[in-house]
Amino acid sequence: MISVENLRKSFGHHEVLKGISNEIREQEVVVVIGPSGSGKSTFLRCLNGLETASSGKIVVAGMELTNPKTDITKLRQHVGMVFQRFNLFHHLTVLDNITIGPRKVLKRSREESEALARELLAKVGLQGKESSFPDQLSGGQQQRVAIARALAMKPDVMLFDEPTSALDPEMVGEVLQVMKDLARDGMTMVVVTHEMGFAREVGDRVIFMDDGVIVEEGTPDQIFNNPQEARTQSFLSKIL
Amino acid sequence: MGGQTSDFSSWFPQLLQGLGHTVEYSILAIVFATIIGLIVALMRLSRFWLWRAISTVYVEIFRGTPLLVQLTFIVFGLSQAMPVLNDIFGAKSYPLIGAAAGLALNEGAYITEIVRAGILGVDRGQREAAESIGMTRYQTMRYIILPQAFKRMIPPLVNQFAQTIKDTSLLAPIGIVELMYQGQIVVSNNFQSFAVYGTVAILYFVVIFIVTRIAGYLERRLQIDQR
Ligand SMILES: Nc1ncnc2c1ncn2[C@@H]1O[C@H](COP(=O)(O)OP(=O)(O)OP(=O)(O)O)[C@@H](O)[C@H]1O
Ligand SMILES: [Mg+2]
Repeated sequence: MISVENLRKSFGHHEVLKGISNEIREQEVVVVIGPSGSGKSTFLRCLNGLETASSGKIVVAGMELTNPKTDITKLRQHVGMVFQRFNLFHHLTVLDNITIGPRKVLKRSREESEALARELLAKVGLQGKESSFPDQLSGGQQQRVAIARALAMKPDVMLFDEPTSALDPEMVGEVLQVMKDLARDGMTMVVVTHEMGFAREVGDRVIFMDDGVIVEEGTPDQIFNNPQEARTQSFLSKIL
Repeated sequence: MGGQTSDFSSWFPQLLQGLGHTVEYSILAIVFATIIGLIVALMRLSRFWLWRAISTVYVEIFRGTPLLVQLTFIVFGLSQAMPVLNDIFGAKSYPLIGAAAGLALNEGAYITEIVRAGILGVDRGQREAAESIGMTRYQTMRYIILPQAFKRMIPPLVNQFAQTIKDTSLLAPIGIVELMYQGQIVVSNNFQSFAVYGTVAILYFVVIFIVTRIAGYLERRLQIDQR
């Protein structure tokens, strides 16, 4: 589903990703952990072209992202992204936030898009919020709308960048539940998170990043219970 | 002088007639300045260096020189250097068109900066979210950025529209008939500077007052609709 070969990314002279390679299979749930500034967000943002790789090769859903000839807007239709700060469109209602992609990008009819949006709202537990504006919702509700907005494009893979980090503790559960449901339905997911419970429960694989490289990867059991690298051990001892 | 023109009811209609032209020039300038401002702001934010260069030079020139100098140059200077302008528009009409164009270009430079600031003021996450669902740059601008930028642009735009109305008084010194010009004509006949210029000021005030009040009302309506 996603193939990354020797990905490097620099901001000016500061090299943030120093050669990342990985294969993410269909229906796999990959959890990315690591200290602040290790390059987790940058890695994720390279996977849908929000950041342009400095070198290396990225193939997503059969399209080579790093090939300048690839139509990147087309590729992004297949890659859902969920942000730490939700980034819902403030001037649009919940319903319009979800339908604007299908309508304007996929050119679906309003009726079809709205039917899909209502279905997705039910799925994330937000029936009845169609005509609310984002600022009227709690953080947990906004994040669930953001997930529905991404799902409305029927993506092949979903990227989550610390989706629960900006939430009050009592709202983390409702968002994680939606993500667990998604994983159970077979969605391919790459999740940057500090929620180790989530990683253990639904993660097929955990990647530990530090200082722009993948230090160690393995099953949740391997990484959490039997980490091999000193850096992994010291990171885990701080957060667990 | 003479009794005929010193009577309020005899000169007031002349001011009203001038006011009509003031409103015409204001509307023309505001409409075209807004179009110019929108286009040039997008040019300023373009990835293509030539657009950025052209638009920056335009804004710097029109904000960096006095409006009266710009109007005089366009109406008299350009028509002398390029007589073809008179042939195209007619020697009588060119000053009117040139004046309106000069006003629009000047106000457009200020509106450019208002639009640009409005666009840059929209949170970067909005653009990233739009691009992440596959919107093109154009769609992102059209459906996500501009509608949000527009809301924050309304107060400074209204300010600028009021400024434009005031600026039309600078058409008087280049001989274009509008409110201030008519005031000067009337005073040159009846020498009643206090009454006539006082009335001129009140008329400008009333027009600007109406415009800002309507704008304030529309802004509140929009606020309610969208929240
Ligand atoms: N647009 C940018 N310009 C310059 N430097 C950047 C930019 N984005 C990220 N960086 C730098 O790249 C490094 C990695 O950032 P990144 O956001 O990927 O880390 P992260 O692992 O997601 O951290 P966190 O857990 O704090 O979110 C940091 O040093 C950051 O300052
Ligand atoms: Mg991050």
